[in-house]
Amino acid sequence: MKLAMRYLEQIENIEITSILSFIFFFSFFLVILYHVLRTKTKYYDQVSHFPLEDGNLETIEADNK
Amino acid sequence: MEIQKFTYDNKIVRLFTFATLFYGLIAILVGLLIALQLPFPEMNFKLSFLTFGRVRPIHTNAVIFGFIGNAIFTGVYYSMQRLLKTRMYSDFLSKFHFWGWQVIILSAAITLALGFSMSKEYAELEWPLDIAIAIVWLAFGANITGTMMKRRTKHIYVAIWFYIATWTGIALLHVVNSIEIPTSWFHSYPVYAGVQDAIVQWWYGHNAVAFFLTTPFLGLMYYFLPKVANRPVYSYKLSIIHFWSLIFLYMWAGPHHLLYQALPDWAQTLGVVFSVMLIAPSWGGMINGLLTLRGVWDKVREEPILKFFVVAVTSYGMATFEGPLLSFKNVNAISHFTDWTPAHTHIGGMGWNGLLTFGMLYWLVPRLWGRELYSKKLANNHFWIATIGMLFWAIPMYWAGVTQSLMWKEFNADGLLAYPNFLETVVQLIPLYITRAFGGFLFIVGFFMMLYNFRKTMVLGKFIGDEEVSAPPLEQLPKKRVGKESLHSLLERKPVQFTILAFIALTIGGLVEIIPMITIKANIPTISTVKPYSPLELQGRDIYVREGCYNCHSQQVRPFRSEVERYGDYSKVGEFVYDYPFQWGSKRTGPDLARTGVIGGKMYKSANWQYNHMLDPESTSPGSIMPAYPWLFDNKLNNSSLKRKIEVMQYLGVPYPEGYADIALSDLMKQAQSIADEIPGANPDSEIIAMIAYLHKLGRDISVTDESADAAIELIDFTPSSEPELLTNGEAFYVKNCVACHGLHGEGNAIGPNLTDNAYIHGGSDSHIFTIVSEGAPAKGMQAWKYLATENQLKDVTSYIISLIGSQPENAKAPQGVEFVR
Repeated sequence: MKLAMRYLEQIENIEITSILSFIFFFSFFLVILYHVLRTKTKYYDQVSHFPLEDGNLETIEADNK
Repeated sequence: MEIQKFTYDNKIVRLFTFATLFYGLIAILVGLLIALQLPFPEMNFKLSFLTFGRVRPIHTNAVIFGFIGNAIFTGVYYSMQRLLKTRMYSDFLSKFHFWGWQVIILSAAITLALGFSMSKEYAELEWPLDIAIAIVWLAFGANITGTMMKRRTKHIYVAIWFYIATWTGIALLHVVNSIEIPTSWFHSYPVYAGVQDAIVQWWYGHNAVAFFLTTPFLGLMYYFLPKVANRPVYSYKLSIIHFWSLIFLYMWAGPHHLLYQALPDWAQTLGVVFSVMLIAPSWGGMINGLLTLRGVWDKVREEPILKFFVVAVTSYGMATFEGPLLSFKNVNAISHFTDWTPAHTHIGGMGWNGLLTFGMLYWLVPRLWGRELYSKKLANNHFWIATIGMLFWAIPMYWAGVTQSLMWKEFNADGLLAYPNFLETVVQLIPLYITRAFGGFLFIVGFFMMLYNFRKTMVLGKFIGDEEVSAPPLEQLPKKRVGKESLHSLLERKPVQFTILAFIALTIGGLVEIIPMITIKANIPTISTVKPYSPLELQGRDIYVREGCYNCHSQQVRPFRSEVERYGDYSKVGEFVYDYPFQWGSKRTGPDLARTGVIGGKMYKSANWQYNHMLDPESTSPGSIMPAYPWLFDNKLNNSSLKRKIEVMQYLGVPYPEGYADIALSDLMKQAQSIADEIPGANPDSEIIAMIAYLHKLGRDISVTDESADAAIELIDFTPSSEPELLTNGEAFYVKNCVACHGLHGEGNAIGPNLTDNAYIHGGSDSHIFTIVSEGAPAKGMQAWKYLATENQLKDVTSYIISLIGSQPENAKAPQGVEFVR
């Protein structure tokens, strides 16, 4: 740990971290956006119905109308 | 197609339901107690374990880990089995998780009451409990991962992604923030000090809000809201985008808790930018929740569960709109340290977490006990009384926050603080504190209505322990397709890898923020005069930590004129390098204490005053709402682990001389005796002496800097003149420039010292007076007039000032500094 600290302490211009983290986040965001837009609607339809069809007893389902 | 028969484990859901209700009740009752303690300080009962500083952490821990934590597990264990069409991986792990968690919460309540506390908000628990939390959390993680592995669905619903984020996020936060070195079974020091500890703590604190109060509840929302509304979520795409944005942005937003404090500027800016961006994913969640109800708003009129959900999600939207707003530096300058903060947190806690939990339980209990809810009408009434209670709680606190902040900052026409006595700003709030307690009371009434309703439902129904279901098994992907699948389906198919990757992603996000702060020396400019705590001061500090003084007192003077005026010099990063843990606080129910050790400063009080104040606060400060601390006078200071404490400090890098641990005790006794000598009737062995030693250390080392800086200024020779014309010139200059701080006749005021007596802070000879006029004392607020006036003006005004000596004006300020015989 001490050895690691010695190198970490020498990072120059640490202030650049804020810009790097912003770029890091933004590129990640673009990747997610691309991925989400590319995925087929069929998948979303299927998955988004999961909470509605989870095998509760039918009597209870009837209450839920 | 093959159909498999299996059962859902409802028993574990029932256990967590009971725990949620139990700790929910405890948490809000304790909350009512502390709400009443503020307007009625006698309700501290002069008992250590019932005093505000110890009970408030019990309230926050009971709410967050007891009530909200158990509510999360209730929902997770119910929804996960059904979303993945399988029983939980291991009944043993489920039970281990349940009982382990309850033992931890119970131990937390007991140890916090006894004063075993790290005094880091929402991470107060001492090291044995920290380890227990880690073990139980691992069991929970193994259980949910195992359940994903044996699931019967191909895809994983978004709610479960939120659960995984919760698990990984909390695991990371808990481990990083809890690295500490024990000095005994019930005491430890964190490895971080001062500003490093502050940034690690608020990185934790802020992300605990993200990963314990937000992501799991969004998961619950994504499961229960569509279920109750009986329609799928508005936009599944939106849920994915806001999920990833949310967990990534949160990791960087922590520093917004430390704006205008002793933290490097770039870190503050980072916190502001990411906090403002956070509104997008947060509102993504809120909009997705509310729009799920499109077309079925008529149901909201009849169904109390949906009412709970709508107000919960709206509260989430309000709180997450307010969050970025409070992260702007100019808003934060007003809101921080005031009652605005609790108002903000209670919109989140009571509204988002509380009402969502109530809604979820109203849905679950009838299904677990196989009958309709006993009374829908009662549930409806609960909804209204809880919502009104929440408003009665929060609105007075917003009012109180703004009132207090404006009073702190108000100056009168003479440029003096309009309310120089902090107490004036406290008594103003008492009616608002009473109203707030009434709001809490209403919330409790609603809670009891729910308990009654559930009790009736449970008695009339019959519990379904193992719910029988059937589903086809998960089809294995043909070998030849495995190689061609997308990253998404690969990750979905391999939950263990998915969890690990999510963990790594979060770790990177977290470490990018943390590493620069804890390693870069340049972030912490050292101040040569700041010395480690003496053994007695260290012991006093540990008592300060034990009693939870940080709950009401900050130790952080922000660089605002109003604060420097009220408390003294603003706080600097280098002051805190020996503070394990940091004690900056986040709320000023009482005044800031960062400058109580600056002799001659605005916050300095004699040892005798401190002694009497802690014994009976009203004896020195009539109307004070601070509790009395009689046990500090009876308890003998426990020095048994002093040697170990000093050794741990040395290990952490505090520069005590080699072998100091062995002689620390004798140093401690000497200092205790010298303090006790100043106080009639004081026992040098009592804890209060250590506390006074600590209070007199705060800021003292910084004030030493000023004196050595004075010495460095070269004295300028000066002989005053007595020519009337020059004195008239001097008077004109004085009236124009000096009156604001030294009074019209040199009598002094709240800012500057009296110029007509024979006591001097910077030396009293003619040459000393001329030098201070010319060169100033910037640290104390005195201008260097040589930059603003001609040399003749300097000479004339100094002659005029010297001519005032001995004039004995009215309202003269008491002498300050050292006597000078002329």
